[in-house]
Amino acid sequence: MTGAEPLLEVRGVETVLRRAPGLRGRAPAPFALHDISFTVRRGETVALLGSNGAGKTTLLRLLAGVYRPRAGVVRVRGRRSPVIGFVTPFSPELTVSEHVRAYAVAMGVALDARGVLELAGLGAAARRPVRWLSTGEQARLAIAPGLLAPVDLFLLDEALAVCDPEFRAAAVALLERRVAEGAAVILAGQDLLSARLVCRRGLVLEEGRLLLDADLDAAVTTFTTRLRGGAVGSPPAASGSHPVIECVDAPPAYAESGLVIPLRCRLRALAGPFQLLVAIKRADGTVLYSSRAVFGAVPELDPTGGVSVELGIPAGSVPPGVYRVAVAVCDARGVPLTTREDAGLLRVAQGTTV
Amino acid sequence: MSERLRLLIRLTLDDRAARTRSTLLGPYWAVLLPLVESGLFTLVFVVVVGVRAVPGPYLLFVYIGTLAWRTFARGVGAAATSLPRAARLLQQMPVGANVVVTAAVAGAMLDGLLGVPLLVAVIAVWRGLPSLGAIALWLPVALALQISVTLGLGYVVATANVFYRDVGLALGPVLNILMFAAPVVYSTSLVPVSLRSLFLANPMAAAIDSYRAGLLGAVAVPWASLAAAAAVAAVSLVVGVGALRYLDPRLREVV
Repeated sequence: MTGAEPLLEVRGVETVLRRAPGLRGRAPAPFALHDISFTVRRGETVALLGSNGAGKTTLLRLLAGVYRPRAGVVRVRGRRSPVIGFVTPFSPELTVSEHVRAYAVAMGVALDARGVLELAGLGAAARRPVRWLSTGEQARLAIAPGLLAPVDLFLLDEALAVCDPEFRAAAVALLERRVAEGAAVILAGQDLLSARLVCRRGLVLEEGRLLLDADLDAAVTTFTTRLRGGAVGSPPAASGSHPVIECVDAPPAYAESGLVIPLRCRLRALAGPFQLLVAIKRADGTVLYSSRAVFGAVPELDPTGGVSVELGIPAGSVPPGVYRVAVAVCDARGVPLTTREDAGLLRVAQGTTV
Repeated sequence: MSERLRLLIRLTLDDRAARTRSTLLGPYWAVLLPLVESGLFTLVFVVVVGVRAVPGPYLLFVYIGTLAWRTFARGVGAAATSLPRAARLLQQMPVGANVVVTAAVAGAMLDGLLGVPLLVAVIAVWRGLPSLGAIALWLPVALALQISVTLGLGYVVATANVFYRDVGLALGPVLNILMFAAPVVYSTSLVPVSLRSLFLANPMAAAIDSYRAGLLGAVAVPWASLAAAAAVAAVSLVVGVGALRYLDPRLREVV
């Protein structure tokens, strides 16, 4: 769903974050955002990518109305969430229930407290002080109220990067549903897996300037290229050769077989440890399933000079249908070296148990 | 109920809960400490130094002073640290800094109110029930002065402490010293007449004397002095509100 008028309009926004005068001489130079302009329509999902200190969080705070721009305009035609991070905004002495209640009052909305606790998996811990929760539980508590808030624009700051896969899957499904209903999402961070799960469009920030506004693949390529010190449009400056994804063999499979669907990827020019990221996407591009495999060393070369690696997908996790397979080869840190959006087609048919 | 008021009440209750949850005596410290302090002042001034006063009434006299002053000091102290403590909230949600500070002050003042029933009970036992007319006349005056000056000074120190954390560090000792500029342990009648108008222009001095006028039937504060104290309290409130509102966008960037 895409509205005629943008849900969010950012035009010529500039700001300078001032430092505390008490820190004069010891604090880093004031941080600035320069001439940021973009729009977000209903139904859009935008990844805000950038290295540490690029200005992602500052921009999100401006969008949330926490900071005021020195120049330019931020216009939101709808309700916006607060900055949804992975740290709880209230005192850790409060109980989980008190935290949810305070969140609702601070946002000025009615929140389904039971739904929040269910999403966060904290129903049994409702009366426990937040400081007694594990780090992961605290992160879920910080994120869940914001995700369930009745808003039109979700502003997430690295929120999904620290979550366990189960919560992340639930959060992504929830965001997908809200986006289908006409909400929009801006997800800031360097977590490319979450960005690929949630977003279709990408903005790249660098030193307070908007470097690129494009589809997600182009944004990821630009971001990772800049991360390795390259210029926009230049090939990645990875050590050794640039890996090539030659083909992906995605065999037809039966959905109810309960077996693993093996995906064979043929790769060339690999150097050193690498990671293989596979996403199974619906026709509309949304991710249905994703998996990451880490390889400590390059497998043995076959006679043609390439390597074949295999990844499995539990058949039960993909319902019958035809899906696109997207593959990315990443270096040991998870920075993508090569991506192929349409690497293959996976046909899953209704079948019988083998 | 407006959203701002709901938020203020929520933050006040949560602030109190956060401060007292892991304590044994919780909010009763706000009652206990002035009581211990009053006992100590009575011991030193009446028993050791031998000031010409009867210990019982002096204990009541000084307890009213210390309860009022400590409540004021707790309020200003809570205000000073409220914004750094709420830094995450201020940087995630567009919640007004003034609501956060007001909630901190309100929480401290609610703690202070816990001491009032004890005070009234002791007065009733010692001297009989105070006159309702005097209470109805003087307590609202005293409360209005105290709330205004606590909020006003609280807004100022809260704002200043975001930019210079020295304010928070110096505040406790400074408030302890300032206590002796108010009639907490001594009577206003001991202040030279030439300085008395200036002395009572301090809103906390006028507030403490008004509490005593209402609860102990002590000498009432002259209306002119009350007017001066009210003017000072109003100015502090206006300056505090203005400073916090003006600097709100800036302070959440550096908090």
